[in-house]
This record gives sequence, C-alpha cells and structure tokens, in this order.
Amino acid sequence: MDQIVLKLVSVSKTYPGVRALDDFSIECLSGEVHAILGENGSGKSTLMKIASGTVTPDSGTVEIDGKLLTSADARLAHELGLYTVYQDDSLVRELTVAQNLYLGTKKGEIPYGQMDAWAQGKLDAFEMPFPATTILGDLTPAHRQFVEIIKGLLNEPRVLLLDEPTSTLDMAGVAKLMAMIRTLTARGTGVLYVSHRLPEILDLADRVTILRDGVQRGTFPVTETLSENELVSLMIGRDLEGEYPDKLDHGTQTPVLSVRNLSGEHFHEISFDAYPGEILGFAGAEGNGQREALRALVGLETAQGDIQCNGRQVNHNAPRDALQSGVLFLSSDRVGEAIFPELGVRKNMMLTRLSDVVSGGFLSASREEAEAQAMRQDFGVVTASLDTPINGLSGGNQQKAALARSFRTGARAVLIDEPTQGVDAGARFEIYRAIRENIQDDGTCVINSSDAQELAGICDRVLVFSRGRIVAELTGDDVEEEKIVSSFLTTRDANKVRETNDKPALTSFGTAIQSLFGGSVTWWVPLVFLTILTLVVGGYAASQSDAFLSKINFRHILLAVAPAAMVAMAQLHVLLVRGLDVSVGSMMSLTVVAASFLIAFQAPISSIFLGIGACLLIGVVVGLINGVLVRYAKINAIITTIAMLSVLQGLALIGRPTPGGLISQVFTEFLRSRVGFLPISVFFLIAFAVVNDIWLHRTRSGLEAKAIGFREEAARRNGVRVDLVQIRAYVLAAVIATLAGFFLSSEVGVGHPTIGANFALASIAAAVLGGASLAGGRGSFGGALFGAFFFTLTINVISILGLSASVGVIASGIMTLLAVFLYTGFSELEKVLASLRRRRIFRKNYGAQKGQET
Amino acid sequence: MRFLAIWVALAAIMLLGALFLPRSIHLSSLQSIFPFAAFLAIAAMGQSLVIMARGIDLSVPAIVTLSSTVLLGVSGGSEGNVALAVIIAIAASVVVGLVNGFFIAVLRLNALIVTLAVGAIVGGLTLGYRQTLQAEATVPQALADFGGARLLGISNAFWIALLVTAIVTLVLRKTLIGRNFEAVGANPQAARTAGIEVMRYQVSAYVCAAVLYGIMGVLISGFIRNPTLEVGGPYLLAPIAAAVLGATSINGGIGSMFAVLGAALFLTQLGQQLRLMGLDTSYQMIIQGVAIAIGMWLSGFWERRS
Repeated sequence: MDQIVLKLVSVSKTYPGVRALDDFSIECLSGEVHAILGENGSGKSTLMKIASGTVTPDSGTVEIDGKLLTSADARLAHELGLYTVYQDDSLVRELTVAQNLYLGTKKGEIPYGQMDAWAQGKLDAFEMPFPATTILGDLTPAHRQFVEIIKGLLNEPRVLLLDEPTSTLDMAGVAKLMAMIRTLTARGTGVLYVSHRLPEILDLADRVTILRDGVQRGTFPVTETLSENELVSLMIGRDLEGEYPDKLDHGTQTPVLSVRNLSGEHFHEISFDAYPGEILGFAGAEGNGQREALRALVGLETAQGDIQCNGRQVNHNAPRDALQSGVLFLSSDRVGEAIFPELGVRKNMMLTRLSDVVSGGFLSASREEAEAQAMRQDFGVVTASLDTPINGLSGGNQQKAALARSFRTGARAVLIDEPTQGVDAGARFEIYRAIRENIQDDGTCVINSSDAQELAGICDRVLVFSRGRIVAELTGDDVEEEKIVSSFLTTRDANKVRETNDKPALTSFGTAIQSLFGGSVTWWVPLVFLTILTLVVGGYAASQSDAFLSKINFRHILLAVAPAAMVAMAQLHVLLVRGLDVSVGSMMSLTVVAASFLIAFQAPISSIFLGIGACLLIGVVVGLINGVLVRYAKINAIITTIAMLSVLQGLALIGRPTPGGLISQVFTEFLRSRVGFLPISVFFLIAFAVVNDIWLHRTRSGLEAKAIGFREEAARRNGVRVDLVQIRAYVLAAVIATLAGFFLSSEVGVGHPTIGANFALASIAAAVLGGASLAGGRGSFGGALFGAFFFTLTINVISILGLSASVGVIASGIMTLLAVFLYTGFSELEKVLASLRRRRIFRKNYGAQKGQET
Repeated sequence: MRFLAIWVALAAIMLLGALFLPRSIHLSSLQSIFPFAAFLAIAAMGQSLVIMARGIDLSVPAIVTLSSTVLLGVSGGSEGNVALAVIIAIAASVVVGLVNGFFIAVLRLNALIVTLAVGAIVGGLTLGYRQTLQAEATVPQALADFGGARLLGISNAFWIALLVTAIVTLVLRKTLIGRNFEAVGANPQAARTAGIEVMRYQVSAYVCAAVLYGIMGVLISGFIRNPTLEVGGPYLLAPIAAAVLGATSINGGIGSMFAVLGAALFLTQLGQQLRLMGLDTSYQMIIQGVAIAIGMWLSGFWERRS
C-alpha cells in the first residue's frame, strides 16, 4: 500500500511578478487521501496544473506511478495514470451523460452501440439517481460534478486529482463523494484533494500539506488532536508585506448604498448598508454568491430586490441605468469587462469622463490631456506615454488606470470585484491607498475579494458569504484575516444549497418555439417542420398550377436538388465544428470551369476519370488552405473563406471569362441518367446523407466533431485532436462542394464562371433549416438534404407560378433570415423585450425621482 | 506606423510603376483612377465602420444598387429633381442599414448571414422596382455633369471622398460619440459595464455604413449616367479588402479612415497597373483575396506586437 503514486520534486514556477510555487515537493501514496490546504492565491491551482501536465514547471520533476512525466502534456499524464477532476470542465452540456462518459474512454474500448447500457452500468454502480440518456445540461451542478468524477474513475487511475469537488454539493452529496473516495483508496488509488472546507479535510484526509505563498509550510498527519484552529493558523499567518492605509472611524450616518432582500440565482435575501467614506468587504470561499450579488447591483446578474443609493431607487436593469443612480461596478475580469486592451491609456481612463472635456461639441485635446495627466499622477499609473495601448502595461498599472476611470466617473457607490487580482505585490499597496484616498466624503466603496488578508487590511467592515447568504458581519477589531477565514471555512450549513440548474430562464412560449425549430435537440423536429412547410408550399402550388405536379417538373426539381443538397451537406461539415465556409459557392464555380477543361467534350473515358480526380484534388488543396489559415494562422473563419471566395472566383473567371467550353457529355449524361422515373442523383444523395449521418450520430469520430462544436475546450481535455478535426472539416467541405460542382456542371454543360455564386447563402440556409446550429454541434445531413429540397422546391414553385425572378431571390433571402431567426433570434428578442419591460416598470414606479445624476 | 504602412505600399507600387511601366503614372492615367478610388474608398469606409463594430457587411452591392435605382426612379429622367432623388436614395439605404442593425445588434444573429440574406432580399426588391422603370433611364443632367467634372484636375467624386474621410475622422477622433463607438468596438462587454448603450452604437454602425454606400451609389450613378443593376456588383469584396489593408482591426475598435482611403487608392492603382500590363481584370479578384489574407495577418501582427 505504501507505493508512491505521485511525486513532485523541487517544483518551481514563476509568473510575471509572482512566484507561484517555490521549490515545492510532495508525495502521494497509494491508498492515501492527501489534502492540500491553502488560501486563494497560495499556489494550489498552479500545483494542480503542473501535476496534471497542463503547465510546464520552471524547474523540478513530476513522477506519476514511478514514471517520469517527460513533458507537460495532459494526455501523457493521463496515460501514466493520473486523472484530474475539474469542476465540470471536461463535460459537454449538450451531450447526454452516456456520451460524455464515452468520450472519456480509450478509443475502441467500448463499441458505440453499447454506449448507453455500458454508461448506465457505471451510473448504477454509484447509485446515481438519473438515467444515462439524460442531457448533461439538465442535471444539477452537483450531479454534473458526480458525472465528472465517475468519468475520472473510468480508466482506473493510479492517482486522482480533485479540485474543490464539494463546492456544488449538498450534505448528502458530500457524504456520497466521501464514500466514493474511500472505495477508491481501498483499491489503492492515491487521491490529491484540494479543498477550502476544513471539516471535510479533517474527516477524509490521511495527511495534509499546507501551502502558503507558493511555499510548502509542512505536511502533517491528520490525527484526532489536529484541530481546525491549528490548521487555520498554519495556513495564514503570513507577514504583512506592506502598510495598509489607515482605516476610518465612522459614527452612525445615513447610508449611501442600501440594499434590501436582493435575491438571484446564486444569492438569496442579501441586505446591507454601506456608509459614507466606508470600505465594505464581501468575503467567502469562491463560488458562494458574493461575486454574483455584487454584479447584480448594477444589473450584470438578474435579481429581484430593493436598492437605494443616496435615498433614490437604483434601477438595476443594466450598468448604464445603475450608473445614472450613482452606482458603478469595476469587474474582476479585467481583459473581458474592465479595460479596452488595444486602446491607449488615456482613452481607457477618460472614456466615461469625456463629457467634462467637450467644448463646442468637440473634445478638447489639451483639456483631455490635462485631466488624463492628473489621473495618471493621482493613481500612480506608470506608462511610457498616455497613448501606449493599455495591454502593454503591467497588470497593476492596468488596474490603476481602470480604478482611475471608475473613481472619477462621479459615482457615489463604487463596487470593485477583486481589486488586486493579477497584480504584483508592490502595486497592491498603491492600489489600496488609491482606493482609500479616492472615496469621496459622501461616497462609499464595496469590495469583493477572495484574499482575506486584503479584506482585513483595507475594509472597515466585512460581510461573510456562504452558499449565497450573508452568514456573518465582522466590524471593528474583528476585521482580521484569521477571523474572516475561519468564519467561512468552518461553516457547516451545507444542506442549504438550492438544487437549481442554470439554464437560462425562458418563458414557456420561447422554450416551445425554440425546441420546435432549427436547433432542436430532438433530431426529427426540424424534419417534421420541413415536411409541414413542404406540404403547405407544394399544396398551394398544386392548387394554382397543373404544371407543378407534372412528371417532368418533378424530375426537374429532383435534378436541381442535387447541387444544392451536396453544398448544404458540405457546409454542415464546417458548421458542426463551429465554423463557416463562405467559399463553397465559388468552389462550385471553379469546379464547373475546371470540368470544362479537364473533363472536356469528347474526352476519352480514362481522361474523364483523371479529370474527376484532378478536380477533387483542387478541392482538397482549397480545403487544406482554408483549414490551415483558420486553425494555425488564427485568421477568423469568415474572413479566411471570404478571401478564398475572392481567389477562387478570380481563378474561375481567368479560366472562362465568359461561359464557354463544353463539358463531356458522357460525364453530364451519366449524372443526369435515370433509374426508372428517378434521377440517379436522388439515390446518391440519400445514400450520401445516410452514410454521413451514420458517421455523425453512430461513431466516436462523429461524436468528437460534435463535442468540438459544442465546447472545444472540453473536447481538448478529453484528448480529441481538435486542430486535426477542424482542418478535416474544411477539407471535407471543399471536396463535397466539388462534388456539388459536378452536379452543377451536369446542369449547365459548359464552363460558367459565376454559376455557383448564390450557393453559399443557400447552403447555410438549407443546413440551418434542416436543424444545424450556427453555434456548432447540432445538425443532421438528412436535415440538410431536406432543407435543400425545400429551398429548391420554393424556387421552382415561384417560377411555375409565373412570378418574377426577383421573387425567387427575395424568397431565398427571407428563408435564410427566418431559419437563423427561429434558431437564436427568439430568445434574444425575449431578452430585449424583458429588459425593456423592466425599464418601463421602473420608470412607472420611480419615474418621478428628480435630478438623476449622470 | 500601423496606419501609414498602406501609404508606404502605395508609394512603393507607384515607384515600381515609374520604373517599369511609366504609363501608369501619367497624369491622365492617375486622373482616370481617381473616381474609382473614390467609390471604393467611400464603400470601404462604411465597411470599416461595420468591422470596427465587430461585424461584416456583405449587403454593400445591394445597397449601392438600390441607391442608384431609387435615384433613377425618383428623379424620373434627365430633367428630374436631383436633391429630392438623392435624399430619397440615401433614405432607402438607411432603411436597409436599420434592418441589418436590428437583426445583428438587437437579435444577435450572425452578421455574415444577415447581410447576405438582406442583400438578397434588397437585390430582389430592386430588381422588381427596376422593371417598372424605363430600360434606358439616365440620371438627371445636373448630377451627370457633377459626376463627370473635375476640380483642380481631380474628379469631383474624389473631393467628396476626401470630404467624407475628413468628416468621419473628425467624428471618430474628436467627439464623444466617436470615442464611445471606438470603445464599443474594442470591448463591448467593458463598454456595457462602463455604462455605454452598446446596442445603439452597433446599430448605428450599420446605418452610417448604409449612408456611405448610399452616397457612393449616387456618385457612381452620376459618373456612369445610365447605371444598370450591375452597378454595385464589384463592391462585395473590394471594400473588405480595402478595409483590412487599411489596418482596420477585425477585433474591433481600431480603424483609420485616412488609411482606408490609402488602401482604396492602392487597390485601384494596382488594378490599373495590372490592366496596363495586359492582365485580365479577373486577376484583380485573386489579388483582393490575397490582400484580404495579408491584411488580416498584418492586423494580427500589429496587435501581437503591442
């Protein structure tokens, strides 16, 4: 039992400005639960990443089950016997539980057809209360966490890394998890367990290693006598690295910001007051609703409740509305939500203050410069020039610039999420000072931070969150690190967790509409929808014109379907992996032109075959170029394929400036030949769609493509070769578009250089009508075929009814818009309407408030 | 540097032209490219505004043709009222821009598909409308005179393009609206958090672009005198090429109308030189495609460097 399954020797890792891990060594034995305990930012996550092979250490070695991890490669670590359970980060929510588990198996281990039964067996073994065919996204976060853990156990790992596995679990869930871990360790697996929750560690772990500021502070056996207090004092107790600004002694005054009964998805009945000149802190372990509560105050999360700033009602519908009542929020996601990375420092700082420097309708450069210089001075922003793009600055200076903007916008209540995240130690204290100095006498500041020391240092008062509720308020001398940490670490009210799933709340109407159309989870729904549409359009046409139902017209439609359907299926290959290929239409044109040379009139059979091969080869090359540019040169897919469209169109026009050059009649007549009443192309199309659908829905390779479309990161964590699959999709698209071009050649018979131009749009429309999603992952080839059929039918009906050609063009545009609108447009429309409604209700209730600040 | 690169490239091909193809820098040759550079520049500035707002606009040909056709229809021939016709032509373009903006910014649908589809619809409507007009309709004489005329040796259309460049640059650089627009493009989430009405600016991008396409449709009609439905055709991809060669950032926010003007001159002059070398105009399309790819790569290059 005492075999070492994971061994880290003298591992160090430095990030710019931070020593994340310093000469750290640890051993995890077979059959042992080894807990890692440390505060946020103590280096735990770096440790996990190095052990699991996702980050390369600067020095030191990792050994898994006695074998050296030679390079930082997550797949290699996996093969050596280490598995990491992320917080549902390797799962694809749109797939079923069984499919998710299947992605975690080795290739060829389980036949695809037995997947559901096999997965059900795995779930039953752990007494999971849901069937394997459930869509993962419909599970609760706790159940998803269990799926992730079960997936981790599939390959009998020698060592399992668990990262905060209980954050989403309730009491019963925690008990179940513990039972699972004990079964595992009894079988000899070593478990490295990272958690914030002391009671669990004392319950479960054999040994605990304390990590503080990247340095190992000792490993202790967990014994009866080891108490929570001892652990807390071991894990904090770091020296103060600098001076915090003086705190405020405030008397009782009227609050600036007053929140009553604010409830949202992740937090419940939050009430508090923030007073003039005060810094109020939100504390808690990650994911206890404190961040969401702060964001809800400015409308970045939906919430119900009452917020007043300076005695006036705050409209928490959107940040703009909240700002008008004097509440401003600075996000912790600096690059995502706080700064404008490519813009200069001045533009970043001055954005919300520009109205102060406008004279005569225009910005005054000199006044703007003066104001920006003043802000740079006041907040100590170090930058070569004010025009330097802000992403060229260090994290600390970026944050100072963002703070400068926030404090000088003129808000009464400034809410700051993680004021010093990603900021080096030196700049931290300057930021604290800047915050303290810049609170207006009549303003207030609320800070959410995962760093208890920081909260202790700068806050006058701290509210402690657990499971979405405020569980403690620390004031005066109680605002110290140890008290903050112990108040959230020792909370045991695990049973209060609400069992919710985080699907966006749609009204039943929106849900019904959405599940009815395009992106439906049920594959046959779009087909039913298309059947109804086809019957309506066809029925109308039949009632208006006798010619419509004639044999010859029918055969005409079926022949015309072939190129449209092939190109729709080509497009679907790219859509599945969340790409888009606009160049398929000009690929078809080029194929027609190429055929007029390579498969020319009266060419012998052998050279026809050569010509077909050459055309397909062109397709392969085009697809490769598209794929490589998109994946490796990282050029946006739309732009890449637009550029390709231009090049291919140019080539086609060089080949045949005007339509000309007969294509081999042997070739075209073969493609137009009939078996009985039906054109041969119909059989080919159906067979092609069936083969592709079997690949998509009945093989591992198809499942991997879907997983990439839904969530590329999850697919990568499951060991899918993402780049390869993506490039393959572009190659398939171009080759199938070439086939579509062959069918088109058989229709026109001559080298027509622009004949394919309209097929790009039609291909997208047909695929989407048939159930494909622009967001990737969804669709069926049968659906794309049917979509193309409907498209062709409509165009045919328009011409049969003697309507002008313009009606056909308009109809194809409207069908496309309708198809994409039905898929995503509805839910967005509902969101916009809901927001407008909230705004109107607010105006009705509080519209009389005078003198709103801006 | 980022925005000067294209002017350096323009100087370079002029120099090459001077050495190997002296005809290409003759005054008459240069004078002949100015109107075309102007049309491309105005359309490309519209496209740039859309790209700055993180979108893409493939409805340019449809809007240009619509503007041109409405102009013909409203003015009703060579004696017609120019001012009214121009206003209505541009107003029609604005409507299309609003439709684009609504679907893309409000309903969050894919910009490429929406503009392609709206382009198809507008194209169909324009075709239907054109069939009600005289086959050989011409623009009002006053407009034709203006479109063909030169001031100080330079085509009137080019002066208009310069004016448009100046106005758009002034708004982008010197007004609150322009700076907010830039911020919305650079980081929509951050702009929303900072209290900017993101949606309004995104819709405006499509509307302002449509106004520019509308203006361009009027100018090109004045130049051609009897425009057909093919008038907008060449402007599907060329404005995108000019916009990205003008270093407009596909990641939004950053763009310079002055550089876009340079890119339009560059592409037009390059086309002219190819023509003088006896190459078919189809090569222009290949060059456009390669230019788009190079422009994109360069844009990534500037951003990686900073």
